Amino acid sequence: MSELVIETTDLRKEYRNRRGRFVAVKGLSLQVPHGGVHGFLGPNGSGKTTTIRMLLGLARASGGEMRLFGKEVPRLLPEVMGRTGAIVEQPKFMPGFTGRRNLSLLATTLGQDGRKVDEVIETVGLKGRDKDRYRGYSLGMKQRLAIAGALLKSPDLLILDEPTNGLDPAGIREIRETIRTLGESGVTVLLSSHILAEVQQVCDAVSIIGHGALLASGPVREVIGTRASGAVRLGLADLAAGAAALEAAGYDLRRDLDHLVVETTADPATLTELLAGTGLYVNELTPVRADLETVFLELTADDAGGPL
Amino acid sequence: MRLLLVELARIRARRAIMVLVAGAFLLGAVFVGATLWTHRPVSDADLAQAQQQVERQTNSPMTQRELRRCERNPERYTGTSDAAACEENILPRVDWFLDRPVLNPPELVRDLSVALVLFLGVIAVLIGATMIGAEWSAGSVGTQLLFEPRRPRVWAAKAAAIALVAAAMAAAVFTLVWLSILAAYAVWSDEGLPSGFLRDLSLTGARGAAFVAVGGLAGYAVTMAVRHTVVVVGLMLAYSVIGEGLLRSFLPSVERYLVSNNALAWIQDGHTIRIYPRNCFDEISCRPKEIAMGLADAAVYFGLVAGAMLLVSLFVFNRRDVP
Repeated sequence: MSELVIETTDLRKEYRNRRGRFVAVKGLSLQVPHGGVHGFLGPNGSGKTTTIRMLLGLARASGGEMRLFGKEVPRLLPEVMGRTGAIVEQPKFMPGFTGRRNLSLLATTLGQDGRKVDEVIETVGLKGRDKDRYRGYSLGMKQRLAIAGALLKSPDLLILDEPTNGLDPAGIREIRETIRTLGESGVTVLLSSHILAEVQQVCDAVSIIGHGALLASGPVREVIGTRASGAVRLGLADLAAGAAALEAAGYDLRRDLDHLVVETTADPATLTELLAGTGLYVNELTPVRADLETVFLELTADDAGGPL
Repeated sequence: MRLLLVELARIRARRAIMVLVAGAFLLGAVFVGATLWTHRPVSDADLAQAQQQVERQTNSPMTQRELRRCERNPERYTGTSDAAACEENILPRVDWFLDRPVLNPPELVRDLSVALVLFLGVIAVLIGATMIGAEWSAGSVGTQLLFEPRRPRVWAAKAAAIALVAAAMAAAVFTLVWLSILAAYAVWSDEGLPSGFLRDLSLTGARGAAFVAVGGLAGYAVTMAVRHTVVVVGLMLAYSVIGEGLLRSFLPSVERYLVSNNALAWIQDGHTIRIYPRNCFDEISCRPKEIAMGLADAAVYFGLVAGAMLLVSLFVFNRRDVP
């Protein structure tokens, strides 16, 4: 296995309030290898953002271990923070300052000069609006500024929590391309997103969590493959007759508009042979492929709330 | 050092803080204006106006009636039988209408400085509170920690920036106020200043600047812990308007631990508290109990109070999750 950029072992986070104790992250063991884009999925309240916040030192873990670039965090966080860019939840900047001033203050914290600020403003397409006050920015512009802030460090690891939130379609496409380019250039990107199609499209690997624990992890194809559907979709002139013939042969099936979906792991040729034997000819036959959404919904079926 | 520069730049860019600093200078201007107006020398116009008032009042029927009554019965009005004394006693004089104190810097140092420093202290508390309160409100503290995760460093840089700004503001306002007053004194008076005056004034200014810096740190420390500016403003108002009054009423023994008394002791280089008995019967039992507070007492008091606030603030900031 390649070098792990993010590693958590039995990570735990508890909150205490008047009602008692609430466990947000329950023994999460996560591994994100070097390079590529790694999706981080889970339903609302599954502990994704809490995990990210613990990794970045914004929240204190109640138990377990965390490592970034092999360094134990939060103890050694200062050693790796210069290599780690991040956006956590909503962008948070001083509303009365211009976008440029907000970035300049962060750049000065890093000991950088104005050239890097110009560069990241250009990269995220904020040139021309960088001298406007942050409070006047649209959600999409705020998101771009946050991405610009994360890029100030020229990071080796980029942790992005819902980075396309609020962006228009063109902006979403640009950011996805930026993420892909970064992933391909050797930067490790941890992408937490509620848009499952986006994760499937952009990510090389994915980790799915629910109830604060890891449910599945690995390359996107493998994760989808573990839940691969054996169903096929059939097109027939006479659906009723075809359904009767297949049911009589013991197949499990359902009607899907003007098609039949047959649950089977057998060779599809046996279906066409069976139907042809009864005078019914198949005019369409396609395998039903599982997608990330299907896998996600299956894995997190017992979690409250929708996907996020 | 880099973090301190970032915090100073952040303060300079905050409009609310600049308004408060401008307010401090405006306050200084008001102090100067009021002081110079109250102590302005008598001009020829003032004298002419006073003489007109004397004439008008002398010729008024009421004054003349009173004068005649006096002349009829001088014993009752002047205590002598000399009717000529009535004019002196009844008729108005020019100096009645020119009752104006003479500008005397050594006499002014104490009261003017105390009032000025206390007002500046309140402004500094607001600067400390609003600076970090706005950051918590915007959530930018979390963003900053993504760039510098060492929380004690971030905390210390912000504290140092506030202390520096508050002290510099106080020193600048104090200096401008006293330069204006001394300039006016140089023009209006032929007398020089007593030896040691400038040294005392400088020391008072230095103590004032330190007091204002501590005020800024207190505002910062509490806001850093509770994360809301409004809470700090509320606490400050509650303590100054109600808190000290209640404590004085019900617990007179805590006088020496009140902020106001220690502030006076610090700024004035000593202060005497007088606690009057609730019930007394004669001159002796009605005498107040006097407690002398020195500069060292006030220094220890503010050192302990500010130190405790800052430690709690640092501890809370270091431990609590940041949104």
